[in-house]
Amino acid sequence: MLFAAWSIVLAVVAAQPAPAKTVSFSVWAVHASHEDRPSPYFDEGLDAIRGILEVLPFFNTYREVYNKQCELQANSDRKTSETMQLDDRYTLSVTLNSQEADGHVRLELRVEAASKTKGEPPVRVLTTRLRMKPGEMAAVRGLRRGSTETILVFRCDPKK
Amino acid sequence: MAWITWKRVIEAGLDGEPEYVERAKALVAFHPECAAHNRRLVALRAGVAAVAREETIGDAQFPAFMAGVWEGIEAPQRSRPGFWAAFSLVAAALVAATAMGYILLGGPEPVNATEVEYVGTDLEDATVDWYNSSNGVVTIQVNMQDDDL
Repeated sequence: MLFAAWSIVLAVVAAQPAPAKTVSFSVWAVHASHEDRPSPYFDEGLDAIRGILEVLPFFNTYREVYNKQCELQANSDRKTSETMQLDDRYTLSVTLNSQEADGHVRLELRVEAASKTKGEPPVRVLTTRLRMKPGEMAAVRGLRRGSTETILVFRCDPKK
Repeated sequence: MAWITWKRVIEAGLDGEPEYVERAKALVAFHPECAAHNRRLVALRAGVAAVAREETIGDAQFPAFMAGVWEGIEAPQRSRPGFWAAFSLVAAALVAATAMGYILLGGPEPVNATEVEYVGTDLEDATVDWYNSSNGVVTIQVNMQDDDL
């Protein structure tokens, strides 16, 4: 009887909803192109992600067009998403769906592009859901801009 | 090997098995060893019969006999201390408590790499896939034409 009661108490404690958790979401938007130059070029603000960019094929010039760090919360009624205008064409919306006990975060990212035709609504170019390891980076490629490409690099860090 | 076989025939014949009786008689008649074996078996049978004693219950002994029978039927079972039942219960409780403690109090599992759970696009004639780049970064690749927008 005592053991059964103790088991019930433990189960109730374990079922309590987790407190609100905050993560720091960082994103860089880079315009990548290929120019006639002797060596690759990186804007100064791209030092943190240079290792990711320099392994990309086809491009040798990387210019930072957007960089933002924001806080997202999970398990609460407060803000859990953020929308950012990356450049003149692409918009990024990021939603923090949940944060797990081991630190993994579940994100949903949507990239929309303004239509070339005036009056047309934006087009959803990408929808993706990720389960990210905290501190690890991920990238989005292939967002065309004529002869250049908009590359996104993003990361989630736990907020202490 | 033949001697053992003939011994079997002699024994079966002495026991009265029909197919062996005549054969056993012939062996005993013509072979001294078989005759000697037969004599040993006959002597053995006589000796056993001499010492055999039938147990009987007389009228005077019958009430005591039945009393003993009822006593055996109605005797209470020897109660066991229940050691193994208690041991099983304790072991089960220990396993359950250990499992709950591991689940509730154990540390987080090792964190695995980023996982892509879903990718999609609303663009016609465009595709989306993902890969791990050469430096291990999860990269989502949108494959579209510039005039898709």
